Amino acid sequence: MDTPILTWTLIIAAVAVVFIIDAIYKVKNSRKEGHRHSHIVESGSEREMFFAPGDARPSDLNDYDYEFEDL
Amino acid sequence: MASGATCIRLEKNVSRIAAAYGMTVEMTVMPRHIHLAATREGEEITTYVATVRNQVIDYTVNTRLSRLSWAIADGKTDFREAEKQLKAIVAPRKGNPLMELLLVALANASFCRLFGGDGMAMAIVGLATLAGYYLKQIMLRRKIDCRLVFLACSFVSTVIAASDTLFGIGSTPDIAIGSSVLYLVPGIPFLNSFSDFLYRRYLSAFVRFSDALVLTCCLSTGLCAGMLLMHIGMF
Repeated sequence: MDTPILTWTLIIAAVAVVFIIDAIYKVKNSRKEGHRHSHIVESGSEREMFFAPGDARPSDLNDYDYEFEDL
Repeated sequence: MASGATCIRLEKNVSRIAAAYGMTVEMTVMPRHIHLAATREGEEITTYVATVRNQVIDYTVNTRLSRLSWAIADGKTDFREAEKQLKAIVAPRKGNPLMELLLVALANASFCRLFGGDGMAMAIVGLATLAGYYLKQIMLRRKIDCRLVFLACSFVSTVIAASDTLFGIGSTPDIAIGSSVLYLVPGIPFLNSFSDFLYRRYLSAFVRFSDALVLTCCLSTGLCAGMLLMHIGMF
């Protein structure tokens, strides 16, 4: 067996073993700590990532406050 | 600092908060410590030395801290509330490692496409990134030195990405290998070091640049070792 194939096989096998052991370890730990619901998808606001001085704070925003209500 | 803020951002935020309470601050930003001296006119100077924590870069923390500093400066938050918000912002948060893993793999596969890789190269880069990034998460959780982490992860990603060359899959194997380690490139430390350099914070700039350079060398060593063992020519 030449070196590249041997190296590739060994690395894939080693990585697979590490992942399996880590997965078993995680499952054991999550059983000890109790089942935690983790969200795969979460929604967020762009205000968490971007802020420029003068932006309204989230607590100051009112979704039902239309500027053109008087028109 | 630990969340990836530049020195100038740190100094501006702290000065803004201090000015809101009628104080002036002088800061000395060292690579691993911050020396702070705060005073109000006619009163004694109070000094404080803080250690820069070793944590994951998180721009959400930077954004929230900037917002908090403006809220204090505009008088919208009192001292006790500000203290509470600060503690909440800097408290360690548990992210979603699985989502992070998937998104990093998708991003790296997209990079491969940007550089002209075909569909097979994208798939292999995605798999190589999944394996390398998952290994990175495992090793960092066990507090292994990040230099060793970069070396090991770049080596594993390179070997997996070399499947393209090894089995003759696809038409762009060199692009697959080149883009398989992009997720490890320390872009933010490099950018922050340039920013500190521009604002004449040379000490922080050189330290950040050195840190990023060391990590890049470890990444390159792993990449070259993988290419050598897989008999892939570099030149």
